[in-house]
Amino acid sequence: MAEVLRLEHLSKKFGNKEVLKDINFSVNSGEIIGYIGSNGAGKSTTIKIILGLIDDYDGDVYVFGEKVKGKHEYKRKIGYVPEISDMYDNLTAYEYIGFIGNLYGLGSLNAVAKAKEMMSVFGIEDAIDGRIHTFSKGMRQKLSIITGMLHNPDILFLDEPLGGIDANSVMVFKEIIQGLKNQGKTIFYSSHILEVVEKLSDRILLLNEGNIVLDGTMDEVREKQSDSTLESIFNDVTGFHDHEMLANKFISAFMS
Amino acid sequence: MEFISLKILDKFQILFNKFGIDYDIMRTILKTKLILDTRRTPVIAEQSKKKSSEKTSLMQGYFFHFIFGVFLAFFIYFIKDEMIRMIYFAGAFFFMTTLYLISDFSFVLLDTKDKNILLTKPLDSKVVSMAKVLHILVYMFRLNSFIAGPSFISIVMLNGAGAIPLLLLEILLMDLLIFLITAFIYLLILRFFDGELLRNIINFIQILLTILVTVGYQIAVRMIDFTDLQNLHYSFEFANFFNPILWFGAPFEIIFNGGTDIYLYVFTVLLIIVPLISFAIYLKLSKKMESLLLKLDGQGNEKPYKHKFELILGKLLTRNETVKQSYHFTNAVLRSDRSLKLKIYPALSTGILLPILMIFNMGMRGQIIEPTGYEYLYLYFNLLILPSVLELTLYSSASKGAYVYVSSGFANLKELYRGILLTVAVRLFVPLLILNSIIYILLFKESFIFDILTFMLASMVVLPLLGKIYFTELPFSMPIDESNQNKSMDKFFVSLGVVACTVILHLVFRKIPMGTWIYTGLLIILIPISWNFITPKIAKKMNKA
Repeated sequence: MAEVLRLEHLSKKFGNKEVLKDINFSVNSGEIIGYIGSNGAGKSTTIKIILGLIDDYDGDVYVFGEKVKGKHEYKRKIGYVPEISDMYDNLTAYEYIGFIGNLYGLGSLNAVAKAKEMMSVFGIEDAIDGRIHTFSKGMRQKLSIITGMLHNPDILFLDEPLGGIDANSVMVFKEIIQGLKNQGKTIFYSSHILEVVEKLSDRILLLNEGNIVLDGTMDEVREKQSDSTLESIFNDVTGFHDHEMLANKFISAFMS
Repeated sequence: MEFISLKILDKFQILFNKFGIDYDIMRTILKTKLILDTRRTPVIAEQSKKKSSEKTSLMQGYFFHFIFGVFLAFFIYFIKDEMIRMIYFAGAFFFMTTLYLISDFSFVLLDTKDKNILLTKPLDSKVVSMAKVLHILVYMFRLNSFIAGPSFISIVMLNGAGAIPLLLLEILLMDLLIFLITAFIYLLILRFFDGELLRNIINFIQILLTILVTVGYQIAVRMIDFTDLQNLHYSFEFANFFNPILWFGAPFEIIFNGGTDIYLYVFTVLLIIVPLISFAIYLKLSKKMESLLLKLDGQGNEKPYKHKFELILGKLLTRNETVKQSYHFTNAVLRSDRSLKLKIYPALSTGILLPILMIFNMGMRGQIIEPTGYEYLYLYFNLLILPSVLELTLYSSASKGAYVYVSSGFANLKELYRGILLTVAVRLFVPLLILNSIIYILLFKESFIFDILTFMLASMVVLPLLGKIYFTELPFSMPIDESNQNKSMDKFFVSLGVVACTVILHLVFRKIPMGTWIYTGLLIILIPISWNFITPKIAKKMNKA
């Protein structure tokens, strides 16, 4: 399996806060990486750096062996589905898909034809002529998934892609991810929903306070931490065991 | 949908390609932006109904600019000196266009959405920046046709058709310069600050710029004696090299008046190279700007502030709990909603300046002010900003939050609006009045103290009346980016009528012996009546429902 992504000594500061501290890892084609960590651990920052949205960082990022800083052509090979999708809300889905298709050089008609098929999988094909601002959260996210994959990218960056999506569509989506892996696509999956990450990922990367503290397959990680579920491993590594106490505190406040 | 601006741009395709800009992609982005500009009405149910009114209100939005343009055209037509004529034209043009750009187009310059949509795609940031610049320039050109269109006719009548290409080029260069100056200021702020502080600073700078442009224009105009337009002549000073407004007269002086002075050629060269060099620098820095814009998405470290003064005033001014809560709520919104502040504060700054400018325009004879005894009436110009401010309280960048009015079953809309009026009065209007009063006292000593007091009382009577006119929707319930499209001329003219009535009443009572005392007494009686019995129409409608 060929290496498709490599991060070397990646560090990033926001003001005085060090969000990423000397991150090093590489990803091979056909891998599904579960990229997990607490809120503010630096997951989204890592993805934004790889995508070129943040360019004042230390270290290097390589995509298909090419250093990406200041470049843009490599983005043809990557797709991105963010947690909250910025879209031009006053366009119809048809227009937006056409627009994105043009940006990738697919042509708007081709893009729309392809997207229509993808939309039908998620049951939103009838909404194609509706303006995006009228869409529910789930519909928006489905559209974001479609436009993020429209150009048949080799690496997919998914940052909490399932927000607001109904259970049936989540099942379909999980199948899609497996299917894409079988086609040799690489998936970089960042999420808090550990059950989904556990089921889908070949390899787990756990980010804590800007450091990669765990890197391995699910079996390797289990063995290392002597825990059975990803959730308990996550709790151990991040040192969090107060969930019951905090829940009780909330209920007391709620009842008072 | 095809746009004329794009068709014109198509003619320059080769030029863009020559500079390494992928024209087709840039055109795609620009076209999408122009489509988006034509629609900003998210209420789908009202789409068909609103479409025609959107167009009408857009034209209404430009109505003032057009009136200003016609006035300017007449004015410059009577100026014989080529330099002076173009200085006046360029000054007025700079003033109007900069104001418009700062108040209405900052959101395009500071947009972070674009970056997330476009820069995750395989696009050169140069293409994205160019599309952004052109998007703004297309809008500026549209605005220009209203402001400069009538003057264009004047200048062509005076100088012949040969002036057309020169004027078009100058307008393009002026637009570019205005845009770049604004962009560079933002870039500087973005470079040195972040988070909340940055947003507040941008807010503050925008307000400051509006004031500076207004005052700067007055200074530029004052450099020349106003009294005899026919005999005005320009005389060169070294400092003029640093005033871009003066550069724009030079090519006209050279071509149409045979000017041969060296400074004219220097002005002409500056006029061309400064915008072009600035533009090249902007393109170089635009990627930096895009990454700096990310700071706007970040969290800042704003210090917690307890707003003690606001709390005390809330306790003092009302005993009604709903009014008090509404007062604090409105204060909180006005403190935190920057998009709203961006619209409200420039309007307020105009309010501070209008009376002062009127005094200087009407009362200046040489270096000294000669009071006519009617200067107190200029204070009423302050009231003209209230319609914009009150209308803006219906808008918010978090307009979706307005569902709470319905979901909570809240029915005391009258109190809610009274709280808003109280905030507008205490937070926005009274400080403005105090500032103007101080300036009046400094300029005229004790001459108008009683009139200032009368005016303040009259304002407090008028405020709820204007509220009644403008509170036609739930507070902060409409998206802020629609605030320019829904401006109603009818309401403005009714407000103008109300203000005119108060001006006349003040004037008439002042002529009557003891009239000012009687009028003041009347106003004191009217204030509680006005605040208690005037319920906005929307409140009645909601209460019925």
